[in-house]
Amino acid sequence: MSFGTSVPYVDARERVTGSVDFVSNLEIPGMLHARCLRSPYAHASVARIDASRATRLSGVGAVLTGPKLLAQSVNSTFGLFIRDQPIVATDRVRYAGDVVAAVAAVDQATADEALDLIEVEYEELPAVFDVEQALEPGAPILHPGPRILQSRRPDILARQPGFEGTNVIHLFTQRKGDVAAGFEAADTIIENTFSSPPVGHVPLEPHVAVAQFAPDRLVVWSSSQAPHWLALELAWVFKLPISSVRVIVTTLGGGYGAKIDPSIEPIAAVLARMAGRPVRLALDRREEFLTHTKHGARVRIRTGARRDGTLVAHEATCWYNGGAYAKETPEKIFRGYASMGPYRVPNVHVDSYGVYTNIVPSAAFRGFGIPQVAWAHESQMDILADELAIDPIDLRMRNVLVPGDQFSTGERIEEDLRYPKLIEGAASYLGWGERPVREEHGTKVTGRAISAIIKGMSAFPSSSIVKLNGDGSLNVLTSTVEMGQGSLTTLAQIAAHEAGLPLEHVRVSTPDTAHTPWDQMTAASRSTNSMGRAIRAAVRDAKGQLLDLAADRMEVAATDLEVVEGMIRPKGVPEKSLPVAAILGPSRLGNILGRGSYFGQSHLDTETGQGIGSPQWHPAVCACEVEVDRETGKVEITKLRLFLYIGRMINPINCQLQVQGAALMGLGQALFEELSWDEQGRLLNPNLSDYLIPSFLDMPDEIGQTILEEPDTIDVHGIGETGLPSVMPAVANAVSRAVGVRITELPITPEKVRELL
Amino acid sequence: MSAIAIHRPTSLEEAVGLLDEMGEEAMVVAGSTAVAIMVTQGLIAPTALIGIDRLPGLSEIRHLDGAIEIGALVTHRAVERSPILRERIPVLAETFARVANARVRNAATVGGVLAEADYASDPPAVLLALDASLVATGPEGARTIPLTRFFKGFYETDLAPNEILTAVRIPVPPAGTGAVYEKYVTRSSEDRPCVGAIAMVRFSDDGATVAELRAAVAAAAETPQRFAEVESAAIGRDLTDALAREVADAYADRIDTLDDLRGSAAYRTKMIRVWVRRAIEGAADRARSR
Amino acid sequence: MKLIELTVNGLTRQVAAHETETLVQVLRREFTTLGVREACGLGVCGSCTVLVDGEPRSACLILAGLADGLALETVEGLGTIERLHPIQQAFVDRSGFQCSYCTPGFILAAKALLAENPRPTREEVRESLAGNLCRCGSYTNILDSVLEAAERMEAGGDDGAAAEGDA
Repeated sequence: MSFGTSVPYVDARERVTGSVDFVSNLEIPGMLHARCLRSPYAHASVARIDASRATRLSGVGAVLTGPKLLAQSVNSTFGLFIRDQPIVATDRVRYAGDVVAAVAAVDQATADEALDLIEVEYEELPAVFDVEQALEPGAPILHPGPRILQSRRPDILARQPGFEGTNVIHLFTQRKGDVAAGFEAADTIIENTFSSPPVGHVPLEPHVAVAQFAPDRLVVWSSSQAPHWLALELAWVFKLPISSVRVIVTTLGGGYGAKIDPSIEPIAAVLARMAGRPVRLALDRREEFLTHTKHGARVRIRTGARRDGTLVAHEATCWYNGGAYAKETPEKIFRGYASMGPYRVPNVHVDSYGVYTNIVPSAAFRGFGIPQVAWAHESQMDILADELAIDPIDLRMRNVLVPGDQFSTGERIEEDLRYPKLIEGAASYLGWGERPVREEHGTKVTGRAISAIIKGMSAFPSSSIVKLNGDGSLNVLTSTVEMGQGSLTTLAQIAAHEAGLPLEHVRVSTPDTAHTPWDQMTAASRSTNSMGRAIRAAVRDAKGQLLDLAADRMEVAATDLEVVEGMIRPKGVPEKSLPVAAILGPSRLGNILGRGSYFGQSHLDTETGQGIGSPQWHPAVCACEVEVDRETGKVEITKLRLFLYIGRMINPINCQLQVQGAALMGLGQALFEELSWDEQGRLLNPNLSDYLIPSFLDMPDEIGQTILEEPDTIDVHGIGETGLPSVMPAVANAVSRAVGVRITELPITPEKVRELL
Repeated sequence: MSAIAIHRPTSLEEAVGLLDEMGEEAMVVAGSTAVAIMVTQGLIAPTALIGIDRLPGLSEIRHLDGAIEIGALVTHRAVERSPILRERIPVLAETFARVANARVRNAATVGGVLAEADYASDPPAVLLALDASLVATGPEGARTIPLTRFFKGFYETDLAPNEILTAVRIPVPPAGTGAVYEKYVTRSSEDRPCVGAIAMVRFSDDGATVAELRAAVAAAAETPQRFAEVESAAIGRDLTDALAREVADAYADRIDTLDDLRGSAAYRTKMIRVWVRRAIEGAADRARSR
Repeated sequence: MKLIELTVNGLTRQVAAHETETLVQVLRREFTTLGVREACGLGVCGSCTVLVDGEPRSACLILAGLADGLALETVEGLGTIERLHPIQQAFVDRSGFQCSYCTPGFILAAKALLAENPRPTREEVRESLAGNLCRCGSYTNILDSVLEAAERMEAGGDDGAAAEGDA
């Protein structure tokens, strides 16, 4: 049985020979190549646009401008929650890099030449880049008009009317207990503000889409992490039934959240319709940086505690910088519910804003809103520990959630998330209590610290169909997107385990919205959990039908039959095995179909943020040791270890890869990843020479993970993101321990540390 | 894409002739690392490229009267691996080994990195400290340019538009010289430097007094920085911590530092104090062990 | 536009290319070497690594107009799905990738390293491959894969035989 085994990726051989099928490889006969013209201004109205010379250029198939867009019978804006992003700018541009026109031509060079021939007259408008300034009276308003809202989320809809005409994308509030009374009862109150900048996802394969229009049918091949959601959005844009929109995804060269929201697909689709030919739109690296970022955020956090360290009150204001378009901000800001961390706090008051500003729109980024608040609460915890002269491990152990505790959302988390064990593991790894947490050697000082975080999962539905073939092999139809996390392999392991079939006889599909059933998106660490459950249910359905058939033939009650390694047999009687084909063949059915779905529930009250925050909670603890060079301020991470509890590992090596990847992203964000803009709102470092991602030599000498499992379950929690948010505050805490310098604004650069020394 | 003519001269004379004829419209390409980026990013749009990477006679490393001459087309990788340089001027081989990554080093040339005069490059400062001089050939023939006169400003050199660099000449440092190049990065290890500092130290026979001290700073200002008057003031003095600090501070006080994503001007000034000092200390250690 | 002659994995052809396009586009279009991938366009990330005379180069820094006569190797020349090169097999066995967009670049860089240094230490591998970036963060497994490849190739006797491990 392969469940729990580190089997190689099913497509490993394709990957090492360079033959795996990325969307960027796709070529369709007659395909045109598209390029986008982008605004140099952060905020401007488009007074005039003249593309006539571009249109006349030989080799140009279609030119899309705002007026041409509005002349078509399409909905000109899109968005997963608020439909505020124009396919190309109609009345104004809202960030430097915003698409103002697009051209499809016989090749990229011709398309670029055509872009140069498009004349645009901009009238600059005042711009705003800071979240708090954007909320001040008199701030320029990015979306003054009525909002077109997606109807799926009544909780979000209910609150929206108050925000129209402001720069508030959305607001999440949480009220539990009586925070005023809580602070009254506190012996110590500390308040600090923590901020983290926008950061680039940097998938090595940039966004790419190929769109092909027939008169009333649209096919889009896209590097999307959310094919069905994209199909739904495109159907809305083109006023087509969803059945007439087909989104196909092969495999992605990285996603990390950058590829959930639609971005380039509507542009490619409109151009395809205008040109009457397929259109490919692929972003270059600079454009990739200009499309989606991680939310920059500011979190002001006020904590009240008793002398013995018991937390009694938590108040936080979070400002998530949504950039120019709403994207997934309305959902992301709910993560304010984790702003006090994985602790028991009876009195909670949180206001979590998503704010429009004139920078690149923010999208989901691995961790989805948790890293921003974790940066705050875990830094705060160590500051509190120092303030109270309590050991930071003890402080956390005193307050951390144990089974039955009430979380900020009011729900009692009955599941044992093993926080005490994770924290003990981290402490022990660092030699806590056995040796000093701070050691000097010459100009360098070592410091050790931990952090603990909690992460939830977005609750969205997943469904799957399985096709048990006449020979006993199984096709799993699923819309989960393979982007390197190994889902084609792990979902096959889940299906094989549930079905009792050998892994080699199970094949998991890639998404094709015409054929594979609904999954909301591949993100939020939800696929093995959510789609895993859907697949298991589908397999059980098919297996039930199979065993009913077999029962007749084998004259044994269906409930007394089992399937092991592709053989049906009475339970525990291997001598009486029959291959599945021996049952299915004579039945002449061709195949048995099974279907299953899973919709993990979460629902929070719009005003109080009380209810259920996530169908599954993910805990993580980070142990970190740093060495700080006192003369330069440079921080070297010498030890980094993540401690996670995840239910059950389907594929241990795959889990380790995911955790390490998350850890390295955390390291990059802790020490040097940062998008920088000039005063005019233009991105200064949209390339890999000026924006650095971690390299081989940035790896700490010791980097690893301890993954706790519950061996008697096949409940899989998900693991892709969990460790990431814990890294940055653990590093800051270790630096503080080492040199007494508290950095409250990421990244922890040598210059910032040196400045405070 | 607009039309671009590709020329592959088979001799240096032909190359110079073409360059002279076409002027600013043409771009000389050797390793093509920097030029390729400038072309593909649309930063330049020359009407002609003069590919010189296959010109004969410019890819040698050889001894020449107490100096080592490196042909302008020698790649960074060849410098990195050169047995002559590793033995006679190890700091030069070590520095070239740390530029960018192996792929770039396999293509980028010694002439190229000098002609480009990117302020964040490592080799220029090291060559400056080594008292290198350049040989450039124009229509009127060859001339020698001491590196001290070569770097004029931001991406600006003394090279005339119709000249091609053909060689770098580096006097072999006297026996007993220790040299260290410190490349300080503030972000990823693959980043360009915030500050680079090279120091060279040679002791007098007593093993404690400075017979010669040289230092140069990379990446902190528009051009590589070296101060002969600071260097000479160290001669004859005991190489103590205090002297190292004094030299480093003198450099920090004299350099007009710049701001970029790797550090502010003020931070760079602080780092010059640290890294020039550390380079001197390292160079002194090496000198003592020789 | 001009005709240039390129030898890719031993196959010599004349292909049409624009002078200022890079070899990434030319190779993908004319030789279908889809393992050569653009990710940064600046020679920084290594996803477009090719080997020229066994040495790694960034195809995105080679202008087609200046590439006439060049001979180079891509991952497609190393092995096939049916017969993997020992380095490729090692990456499979040690799971040296996640999304694998960067993997061909790493494999070629490893090939160049092991040709020059058949028994590298962990530190030597890290230094040598530092110029290849992996955003998914698979470095630990990549390191294990390269060390495993070194062992296999030493045991196997030469670096060309793909006889082992293609079950």
